Amino acid sequence: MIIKAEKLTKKFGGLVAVDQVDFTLAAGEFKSIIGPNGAGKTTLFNLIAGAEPVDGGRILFQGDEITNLPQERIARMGVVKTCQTSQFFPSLSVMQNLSVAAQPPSSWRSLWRGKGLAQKTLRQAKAVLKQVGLESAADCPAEALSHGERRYLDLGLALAANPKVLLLDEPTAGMSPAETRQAARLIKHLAQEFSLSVILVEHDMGVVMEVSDRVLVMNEGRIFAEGAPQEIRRNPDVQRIYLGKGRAAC
Amino acid sequence: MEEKLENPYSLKIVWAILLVLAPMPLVLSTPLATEILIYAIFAMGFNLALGHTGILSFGHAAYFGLGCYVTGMALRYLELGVFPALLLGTLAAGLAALALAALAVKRQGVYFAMISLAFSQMLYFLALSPLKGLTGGEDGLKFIPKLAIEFPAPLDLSKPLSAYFFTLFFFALAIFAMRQVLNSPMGRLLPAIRENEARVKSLGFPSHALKIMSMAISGLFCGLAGGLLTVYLGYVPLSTLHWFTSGSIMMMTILGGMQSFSGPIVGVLVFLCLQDVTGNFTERWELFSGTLFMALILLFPQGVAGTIRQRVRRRMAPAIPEQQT
Repeated sequence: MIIKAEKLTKKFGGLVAVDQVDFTLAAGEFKSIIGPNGAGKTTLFNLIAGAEPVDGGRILFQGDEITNLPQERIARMGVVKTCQTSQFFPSLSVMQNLSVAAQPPSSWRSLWRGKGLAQKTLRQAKAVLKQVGLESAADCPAEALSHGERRYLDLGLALAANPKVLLLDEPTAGMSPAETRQAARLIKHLAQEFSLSVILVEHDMGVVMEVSDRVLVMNEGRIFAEGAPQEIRRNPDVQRIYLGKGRAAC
Repeated sequence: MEEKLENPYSLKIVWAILLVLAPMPLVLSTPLATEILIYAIFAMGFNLALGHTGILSFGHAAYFGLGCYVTGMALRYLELGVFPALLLGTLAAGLAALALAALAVKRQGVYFAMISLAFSQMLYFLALSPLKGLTGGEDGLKFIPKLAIEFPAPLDLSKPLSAYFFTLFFFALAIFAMRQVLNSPMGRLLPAIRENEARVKSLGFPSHALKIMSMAISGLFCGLAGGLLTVYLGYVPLSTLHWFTSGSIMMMTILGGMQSFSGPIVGVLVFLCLQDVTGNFTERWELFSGTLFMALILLFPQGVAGTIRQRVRRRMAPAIPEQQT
């Protein structure tokens, strides 16, 4: 198990956003999390990535405890998260954005630019630029990108940071169904190419069923069901909570 | 084909600035030219925090003034040579900035600015009264022995032109050092912090440590500028620690353009020349500089250097998409 969370709990005042969740992710596994709004998907992400303090339980990454480590430490170990809204460096060019992310984490201390380091950074940034298909926009300031391109840049930043585990929180938010399908396939392809483990939050059920090895359903802070895409699709309870009672037939 | 990672700041710009500024005494008075160089180092240092890292500090007079006083005290009380005294002043300012940043790094924006202002006011009032015996209080630190250096060539620093070249040497050193900092792996992360600190963290870089380092390096530059002012003036005025100094340097930097390498230097040049000209026929030059400042900001919203650069680029590359979403 590359990630193992035990009895993970997070409270916001009286609201239990994540309630004693046990969660595992195998190395190389592509797992999707689905569930209605407010089910605790984003909070679960934030806990695993260290973006928010954990109130109870613990998280192991490759057997080492990472509970409540600073976010940058966890990211440096290889657990990198993207958010629902694109997070990038607006006035820097696309290439500069990716070069920042491609810098080896320990290089922040360095006031001297070794040649090897620069080459490595450049190669990594260029490779990612190509993978996310932003070559034609390389020299544009990132703020000039369209919404869809921004989502790809966001994904590219995460990829450039050399992750082992990618936590993607609705990477296709705001995309059309066709774009969503395309983006999800790209993610799947990249995950296989770099043997990444991926946790994906996604609303398009067709896409989820297509790309995921396993699907996890969350509701009201708990894990409601987990299984292979086919099992989840057939599970009537899932249809009920996810699609709403009246619309289960659709 | 080996491609190189593009440096954000080329050597050409550094040499261009040096070539333009070096012959200043031919056009301007030598003391004014010296002051321009000193404040240019100060503004470069300040802009590392504000323009490049996005740290708003209302208290950079603290590091400038500390550089002045520590250098002055080292010269007067410890009777050190000019170079060791400058080094001491520079390091003291760097350490002070490091300490303040380490304490206040978790505060953002205006809150950080207020803490830095409070710190600089604290130093100001310390120098004014409790430490009067050492600092000379309101009169400033006087009776600094006559300054001269033997190495690399004997130079009497009380002569204006000697002081100018002495300052020019350190200015050149500072500007090359600043380029090195900004092009280094650490320096490249600083604009990313300005743009989106949370993202920098989520990519695995310790943004707080980076901000502290940025402040410390900024402090070093300000301290060096302060030390050079002491050497040039031969005494330390208390006003170097005053909040007005913090405000002036911010005005000069914004006037020139925050997000460019040459911006702060251009700002200092414009500001000090204007002050010099208006000062010739009125004592209320602040009134004029204030009005001019507003006019210039309206004309050059990105600062003088920033706006010119932007216009040149736009003319050269009209194809850059301008859409905003």
